[in-house]
Amino acid sequence: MAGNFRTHDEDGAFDTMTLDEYLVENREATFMMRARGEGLSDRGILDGDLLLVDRSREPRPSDIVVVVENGSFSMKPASSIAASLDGETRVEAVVTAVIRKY
Amino acid sequence: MKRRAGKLIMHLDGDAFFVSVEAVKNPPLRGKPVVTGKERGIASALSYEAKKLGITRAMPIFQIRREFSQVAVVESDYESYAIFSRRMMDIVRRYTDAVEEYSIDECFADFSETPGFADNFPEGARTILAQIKADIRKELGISVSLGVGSTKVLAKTASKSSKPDGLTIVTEDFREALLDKTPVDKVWGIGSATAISLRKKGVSTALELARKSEDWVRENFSKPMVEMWHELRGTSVRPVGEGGEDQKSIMKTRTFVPASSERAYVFSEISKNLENACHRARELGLAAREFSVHLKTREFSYARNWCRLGAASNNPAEIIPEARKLFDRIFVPGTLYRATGVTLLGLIREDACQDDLFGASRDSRAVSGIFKAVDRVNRRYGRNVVRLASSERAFAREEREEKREAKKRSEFLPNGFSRRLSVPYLGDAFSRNPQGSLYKKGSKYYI
Repeated sequence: MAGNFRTHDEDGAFDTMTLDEYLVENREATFMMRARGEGLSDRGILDGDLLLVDRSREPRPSDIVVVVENGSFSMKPASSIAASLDGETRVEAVVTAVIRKY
Repeated sequence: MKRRAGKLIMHLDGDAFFVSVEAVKNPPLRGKPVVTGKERGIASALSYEAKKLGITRAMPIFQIRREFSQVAVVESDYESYAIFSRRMMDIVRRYTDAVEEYSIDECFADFSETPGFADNFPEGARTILAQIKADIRKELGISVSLGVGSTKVLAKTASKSSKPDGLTIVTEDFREALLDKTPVDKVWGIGSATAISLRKKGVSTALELARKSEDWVRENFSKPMVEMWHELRGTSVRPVGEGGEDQKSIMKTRTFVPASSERAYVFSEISKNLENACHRARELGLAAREFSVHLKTREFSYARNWCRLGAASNNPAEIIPEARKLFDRIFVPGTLYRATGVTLLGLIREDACQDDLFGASRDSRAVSGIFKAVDRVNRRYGRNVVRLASSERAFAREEREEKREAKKRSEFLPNGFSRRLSVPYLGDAFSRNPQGSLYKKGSKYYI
């Protein structure tokens, strides 16, 4: 399904895109989460970061995914769970953006 | 492959919608008995597991806690329900533009013109409906039940006939079998009084009603029942509206910067949201039977409160005292709030409003007339030149901000840049430390 990008044509001179349009590909399937823990700092995700996650995207090995573990949401590299994926663990969403304000 | 003439209408019904949304946000609730309504003290929505235990809607929370200790009781989160609702409807709109949002968890959609639906019926239709269900399950994490028929009444009867996660297509061969197992009081639009009157005349199933002659229906009942009879027989007389008029909730919220902990100011924001929501309701000719207010703190935490009105209203002067009571119970002194919101629920047509037991709504109608006059003045002289005193501070602040924003925008920002990101918040996502040690969330530690 194509993302619902809308562009604003300013006096027909040039198109601009809002930040949501840049960050959100499938609006219906995108949710916000807060990163907790430093376990993915080597992948550029720090404690307290805002995350955008997309439930509709098929995970690729290079993605960070959100799964449910012991009743709470966990983030993991998709490559690390592919091997241990049993019937119970399901990928809830794929992390599509990290937002950090300084 | 065969082309089917006439209308093809879908009815979508979210399965235990409020509770399902809660379970998406909060994984431990999945598959468990759950009720919402903690903030009201009575159950407002139930999971299927909770229904199986014998819990019913409107059961007091203290009773549920006492008799069913295994049940999770959560607060209603109308903002999330509204966002999930809109997304659910938008997914249906990928397949047809003719969508009527009937309530927060139900919609009708006309598929008569959708390629591959009517011209390949029912096989193609089934494929498209299965895709809609799959999209909603994958993207929103909830399940829905779908019914399709040549009329709204048949579609709605079909979706109710198989829940949860149902997909029921009413072909002409199946129509009579479906109506035969549907009691008249379960037909959408037949109230309990009408059902009693039908039963007295020997009509207890929808099929028995459909098999009566048109003359019989005309002699015994009024026009809406004649329409119902046509709809049950497969002749569409109630077209799918394009949303708007039949909507069942109106939400107005605003985020203010900087956040405020001042009681009077935060309430003025509620008052203003209420005025705006009532204005919208009057534009649509609707009145609310219920409403909720919510407060949002800087830390994304919410507080909500809900109440039912004595009589349906779209008159802010009448609702304000109720809003004040709800607000006083959830406002925590010393907390910094960043947003407030008001949601009007249980909307019905203004002209269908019934007086409450004490005739209070008669006065309300006179006041409602005043607000219609206010609407005319505001239309003529600009938005909100006339407003409730209790909203004054919030309006004044918004106007100052708008001027400042307009100035800033005109300096360096293109229009539309500041549209707010309305992405629902799912909570925390944890990652294990490299040392395998504990991580901290608030005052709690997790492995």
